[in-house]
Amino acid sequence: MPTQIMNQKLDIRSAFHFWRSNMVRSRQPMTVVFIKIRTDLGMTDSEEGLQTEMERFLSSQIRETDLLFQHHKRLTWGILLIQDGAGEGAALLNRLFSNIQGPGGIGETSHFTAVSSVVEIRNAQAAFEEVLEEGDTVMERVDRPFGIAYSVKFQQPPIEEVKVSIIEENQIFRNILETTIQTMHIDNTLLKIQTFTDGYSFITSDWHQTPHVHVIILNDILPKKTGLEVLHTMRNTPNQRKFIFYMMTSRKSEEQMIAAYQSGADAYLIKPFNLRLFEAQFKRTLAGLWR
Amino acid sequence: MIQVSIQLVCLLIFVMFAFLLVFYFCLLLSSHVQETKSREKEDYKKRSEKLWYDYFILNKPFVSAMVPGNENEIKGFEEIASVYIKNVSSPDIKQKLQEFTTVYLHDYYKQQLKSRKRSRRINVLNRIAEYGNLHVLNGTEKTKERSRDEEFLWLKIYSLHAPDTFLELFFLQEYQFSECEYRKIFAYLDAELLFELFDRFETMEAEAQYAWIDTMALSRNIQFLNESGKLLQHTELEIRIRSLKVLYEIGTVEKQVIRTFLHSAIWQERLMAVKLCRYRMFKEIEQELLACLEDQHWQVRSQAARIIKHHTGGVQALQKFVETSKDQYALETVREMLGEEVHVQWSI
Repeated sequence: MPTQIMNQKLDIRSAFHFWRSNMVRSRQPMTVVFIKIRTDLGMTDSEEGLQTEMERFLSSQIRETDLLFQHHKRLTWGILLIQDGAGEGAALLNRLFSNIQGPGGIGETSHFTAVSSVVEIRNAQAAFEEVLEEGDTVMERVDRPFGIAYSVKFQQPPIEEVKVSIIEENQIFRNILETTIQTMHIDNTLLKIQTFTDGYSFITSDWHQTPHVHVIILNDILPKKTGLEVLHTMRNTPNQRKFIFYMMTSRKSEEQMIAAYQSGADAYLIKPFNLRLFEAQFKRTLAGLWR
Repeated sequence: MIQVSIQLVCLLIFVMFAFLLVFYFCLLLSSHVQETKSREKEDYKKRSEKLWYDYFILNKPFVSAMVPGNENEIKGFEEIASVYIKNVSSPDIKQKLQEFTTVYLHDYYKQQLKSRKRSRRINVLNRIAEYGNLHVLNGTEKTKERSRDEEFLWLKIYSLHAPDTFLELFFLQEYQFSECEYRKIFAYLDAELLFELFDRFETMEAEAQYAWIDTMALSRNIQFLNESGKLLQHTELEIRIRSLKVLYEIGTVEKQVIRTFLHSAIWQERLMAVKLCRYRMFKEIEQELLACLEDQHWQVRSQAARIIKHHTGGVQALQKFVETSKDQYALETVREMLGEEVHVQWSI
């Protein structure tokens, strides 16, 4: 049985672009770590031996999902960590350096040092060549053996549009919630807010028919369609995972809360609730979209 | 045949027409007054809603435009305040509302409280319960006989905002309230005051006693364990059963208590004791629970089977029971329980 992908010649550049697209969709960063060996070996044979030995070592240390590639510069490698941030990249490098220098490590037999850099990518505009260049530039700043330098150049995620719907019958409280959310400052997020007086007008509107992340703050008791009915309806639509439901209630019924969570509510707010606490919860929800 | 002069008919028509005209103008005037009232209220709400938000939430300074100028605007203020009280939890907002109503609306509420209309007095008492502007009540304590509803609101106000004087008022008042009303009053009391109430438990009405026990159960406060333990010795059956419910809600019980009530002559007590068995190790109460499968009351049998099943090793115990028991009622209950799908298992 043939196992090769027939229509793709997958090299690291293609893999990088593929995973970069996936990164935007899954909202999980990816990281490239660079390792450069610094040695005073003059002889080409010794350098080639070290090259082979390091490649074997690095291959044995990474996970199946990590992609190891040879940098166009000599004695330099890159590892593409899919769905990992700078923290995981640094942890990998520390482990690699510790194994190199530890007992039985290749540092015992060959005399060399290494420098490294970590480039975390959260921005879909980052091109592979730019990442290589940034990794090199940052690595040049390392002034001690086995040191790590970090790049923040591609860490800024693109500004994301998030829809917010407030479904509440009472006009004054609707305005309170709207103003509270409008005055929130959330990095890299553009909040688009719309209010509704009842469940039916929300369901029949085309406001929710977009692929954006959509936070819905709704009361359990509403005219025409109740909060639970709205929740049930929206959770049964295609692509429903984009919805984040905050259910508000004045009743302290545990059964009601259980029913709401089972129907797909993400948070439950018992009135009266603290607006600052709500703000913190709301921000945490949006911050949690990016791992 | 009755003969009526044409002048009389004309006069009658004229009188009726005049009456209709006056009636029409009265309606028009009344509708105009209502519209003006409603417009003034809505205008105030529109004008001050944002100012109140800034004052309450953003801690911006108070501005004089927020002070309502007449009764209609006060109604608008009350609607805004009510939304904050019911939806937003914040000690700051409560404090600000209390200060505002004490300074700007004291005279208005005082006057309303002296009104001969009961509905107005009730409305003011409800507002005082929300805002905590107790000064309005000063000097009106003995002014007139209070109705039952007013007395209830007085108690509610004191339980919410002046717990120190609540007990005095509570034991002085002469009306008898329903269990539900007592529960509403006790719901706002802190544990310390509930303990003080317990010291005079025997002097309370039966409804108040039941409500006090239910309040303990709702609070699930382990501090009440000692009090509910004392009430288990009470001579009245209803109090003992409700006290067992308190233990169930709190979720802890002595083995001896279970043993005592499992042998009670009253099935409701045996039922509660069986329910409480979920909080003990199965090994400790296995024999007693298995004996309850043969209880003469079906609810006790059914509850015992359910509790055994949910304990770790309970299903095996029930299966063994089926093999050995000859009690047809017990066997029916157990088989029915074993036929159900096991949803929950807990172990202690």
